[in-house]
Amino acid sequence: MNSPVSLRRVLGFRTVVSTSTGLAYAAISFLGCIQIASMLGGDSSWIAFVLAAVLAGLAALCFSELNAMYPSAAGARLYLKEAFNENVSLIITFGYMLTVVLVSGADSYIVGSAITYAFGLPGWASLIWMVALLALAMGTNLRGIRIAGLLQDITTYGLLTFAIVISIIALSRHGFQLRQPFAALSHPVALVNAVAVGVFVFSAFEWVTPLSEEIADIRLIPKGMFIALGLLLLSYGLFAVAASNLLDVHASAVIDSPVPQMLLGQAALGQMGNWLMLIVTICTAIMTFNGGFATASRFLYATAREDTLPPLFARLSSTYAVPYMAVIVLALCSALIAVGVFLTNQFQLLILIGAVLEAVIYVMVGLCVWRLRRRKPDVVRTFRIRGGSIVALLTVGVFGLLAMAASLASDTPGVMVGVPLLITLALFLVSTLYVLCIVPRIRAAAEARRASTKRRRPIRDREETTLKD
Amino acid sequence: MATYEELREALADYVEQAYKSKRVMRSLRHWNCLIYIEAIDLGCGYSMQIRDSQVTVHDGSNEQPDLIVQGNSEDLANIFWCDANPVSAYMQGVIKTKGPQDHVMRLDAVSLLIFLELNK
Repeated sequence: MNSPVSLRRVLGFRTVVSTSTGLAYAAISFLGCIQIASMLGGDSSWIAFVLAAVLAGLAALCFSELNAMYPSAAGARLYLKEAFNENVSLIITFGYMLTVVLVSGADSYIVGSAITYAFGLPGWASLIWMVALLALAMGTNLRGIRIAGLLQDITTYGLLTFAIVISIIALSRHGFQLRQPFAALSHPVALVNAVAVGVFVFSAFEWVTPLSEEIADIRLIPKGMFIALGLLLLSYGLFAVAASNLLDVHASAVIDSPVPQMLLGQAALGQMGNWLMLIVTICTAIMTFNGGFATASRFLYATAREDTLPPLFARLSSTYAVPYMAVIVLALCSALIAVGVFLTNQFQLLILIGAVLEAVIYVMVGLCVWRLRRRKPDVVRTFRIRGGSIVALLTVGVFGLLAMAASLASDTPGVMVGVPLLITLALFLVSTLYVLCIVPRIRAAAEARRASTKRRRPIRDREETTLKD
Repeated sequence: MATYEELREALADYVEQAYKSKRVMRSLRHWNCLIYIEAIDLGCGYSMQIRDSQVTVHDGSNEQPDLIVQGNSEDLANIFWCDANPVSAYMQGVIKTKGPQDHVMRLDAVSLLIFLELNK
């Protein structure tokens, strides 16, 4: 028997942390931070971020155990299939992919708006920048160009540094004096709603789990996720508190702005702040389009290869090994979302829908841990959550409540009560109908194609003997 | 369970089919990768070197690979004979990979192109 073989190159812990942080840090996160700050009085939004980070930590524990059982890029698709069944896995992961489309579309809108703002261009220029950015993202993905390793680390840590430094400078303008830093505790309902939005702002940190195939020690993944959550908490918390301290986060000019981070940059450092925040915003877009886009396109490709999406999505460029139809469709869907947000300015609705979807995913992940503890107690778990199933059930309960809070949107100006719920239900209904009605047809067609292909593997003598028997 | 020789034969056929396909050769042009294919039930493996559009297979492992593909010999044999869908096997957790997803995608691209060529 051969001795174990190890990879020539493995990713380091620094890249695990930067990937987990970078995937969560989207341009729309800034808008989410402002939304949270506007929901709460004074400079107390940090409380919502701390709570959201703790709750995200529950989800991180669940992902860590599942990843330890199934260290695969298939991720949630595999966890759900093992814990439930194929159909549940498909219905939920289609919803999961939708968050990538929502974030990609929203980010292109926000970055386009940031460029327009920084250069003092007319409002309609955002539309051109948006389309140009998505075209650029599509083009680079089609050519298989990816930012990885050191360059990714520099982008992520640079973005964090800039965002934190600008936030600290903003806070220094009022001598670090915070107004009513505990005001949120007096308004528990608003706090719960803010925490629900906070879930969305932290979400996608778990998309680092596919990296378990590229590292030497799988225990780096849970460690990396927790450190990423800490870095995100620091950055988001400082940004939101700085924004509530220096800007009027209850004014429509700030709440309705697609570029609140630029407003903060300008208030803190004038035109220099504008440019720095523009760099920060572009870095977030790089992370979104580099990581999220590629992951989503590969998911669409793999799903088509498994005969659960039309074969169109499995078309591959032979030169670059890129699923080009999946990339193009993703870009077009993101563009539709971006144009929709541009025309309606309903990014708050988008954030709430994202929050509901993510909360539902975390509920399902908690259920996966609980069910697999029962169904497959003997599967090796190199990471196991202590305390039995308490954490898993707590995750289910807490994120279930947060999903309901976000879906009702009772405290969000400009969003009708219940609209996020209706839209999310509609999305899952469409996903369910697709899985139950269309997927069987696609599979039947694929089966028919396979039946017409001849088996190539030679039948051996022992098989012939068995057949005769 | 496939034998060591059966799996070797599957890999040899895979390489032969790769050379027959212009599209596969085009996809190999920009790809350098050492893949270690490990049959867990047999406790052994093979190295597939892809470099400068050349594909060679040899027994065992002489240097650290860029990508590791693990599975039981029966599944690996079916995959390399193009009788089984490698993506289905991967998504079901039947085969496991270690290494960058870019290499995994490239390998699957080769498998898909060979399959399409065989079933033209």
